[in-house]
Amino acid sequence: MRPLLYTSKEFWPFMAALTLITVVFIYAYMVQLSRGLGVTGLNDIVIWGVYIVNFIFFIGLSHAGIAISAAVRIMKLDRYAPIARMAEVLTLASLMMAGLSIVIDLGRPDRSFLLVTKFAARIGSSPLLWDITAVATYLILSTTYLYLPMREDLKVVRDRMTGWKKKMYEITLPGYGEDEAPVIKRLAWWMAVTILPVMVMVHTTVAWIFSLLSNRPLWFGAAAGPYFIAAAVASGLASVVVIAAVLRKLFHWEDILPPEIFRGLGNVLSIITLTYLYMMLVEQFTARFAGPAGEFFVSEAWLFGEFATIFWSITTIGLALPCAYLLIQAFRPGKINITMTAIVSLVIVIAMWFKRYIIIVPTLTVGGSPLLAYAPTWVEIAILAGSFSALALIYTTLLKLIPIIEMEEPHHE
Amino acid sequence: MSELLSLMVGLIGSLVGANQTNGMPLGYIVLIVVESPVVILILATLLGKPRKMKVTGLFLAWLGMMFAVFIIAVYALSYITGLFY
Repeated sequence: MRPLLYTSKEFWPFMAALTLITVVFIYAYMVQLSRGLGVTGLNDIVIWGVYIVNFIFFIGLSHAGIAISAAVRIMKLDRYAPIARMAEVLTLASLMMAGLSIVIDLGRPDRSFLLVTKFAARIGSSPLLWDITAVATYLILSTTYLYLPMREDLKVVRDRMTGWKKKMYEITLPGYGEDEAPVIKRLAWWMAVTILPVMVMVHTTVAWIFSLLSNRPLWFGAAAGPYFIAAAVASGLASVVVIAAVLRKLFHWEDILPPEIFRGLGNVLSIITLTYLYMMLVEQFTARFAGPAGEFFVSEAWLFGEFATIFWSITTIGLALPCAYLLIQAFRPGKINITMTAIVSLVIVIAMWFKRYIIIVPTLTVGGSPLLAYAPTWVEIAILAGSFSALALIYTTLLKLIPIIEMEEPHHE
Repeated sequence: MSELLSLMVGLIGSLVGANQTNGMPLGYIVLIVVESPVVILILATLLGKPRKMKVTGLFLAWLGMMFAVFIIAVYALSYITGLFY
């Protein structure tokens, strides 16, 4: 309950900075709304840019929360229970930002209602609608999965608070009964079991938005689903490591978040990152050995052309080196450096954003015509910065409102 | 057994050969795959034990409320952004 009860003097300036960046983001979006997508670097040929990169990235972040939390619940990995809710909150915040990224990318968001009115007519053949359906289902289930098991803890918080705060928490507990815990526990187990396939389908349908387009080099392919899921789990898991390390430092949770948790997360992260590097290698082999000309040209742009700096930075500094560090750490029992683990995890998160960038942009821009050039404008950069700021704002606000660690054990007080 | 195998091969063939299988658009299959866990969850809530009708009701009400919030948010988005055109 420490985050709910105590506020440091740095908290308000931090929130003010985040709010300021978010306000700039809102202004930039209003400029885009009133003048149209012409204020971005997008055009009739390069139809997707940083907004869609953000969308895939945020969807990716959202995966770790449920993956960790469901694994803790189903496999009874009690050691990792303290990070489960941190991860669930990340899922919720990043899913909200993913949805917002899609809205921002729309040229005419005022026509969003067509999603509802044309649903039955379009669901049969529109991968975009499959994706929106999966994301909406995932968002609804994630909020349920976060809220129901948290009722016990909200009751504890309500009892500790006074005045308007007590009333506020009272509202969050409609129909609360002392004997509901076993029923909720069973329900939470079923939610953990059923939310995992939805989680897999979310990123599979995200991948299908790209991989079902047969004329787009390096998008079209059967392995896109697993490839996207590996990226999602890697970036999501890495984000949870970063968040857990920061909160551990801020709230002195050394006893609640022991080094073993970071070792375990680091081990899984190293394996997922290694798998992802393997998939990148396989993709390049396929594109270069006998792929159609388009595949080869995009691969050339990645490896030796205008995107080579980004590609090799991602591959070496962003993925291979952090993976090597985590693997070395895994093979040296007793040696764990939480700060370094958090830093290499942050590097992986950043690398995964840029990896999404080179998945999307080169396929649309490689070809030589000036019409195919793409560079984000100030509006896109403001919205990009604002999106991350809004994510941090949502997360920090939730951190101050709900118990971020399950309070089953007394020392969590 | 061989009939079952040939049926499966035929099904897979129709899946990869067109965007429809046995008259059913592929999107419906995706919809079934995405939504079936929700159906299983609701069934588990309604039929599983230990069971408490108040919690079951709360769960269903929460799901319903979240769904309603989503639909309302879509319409609100359309309305608010429509003010700019």
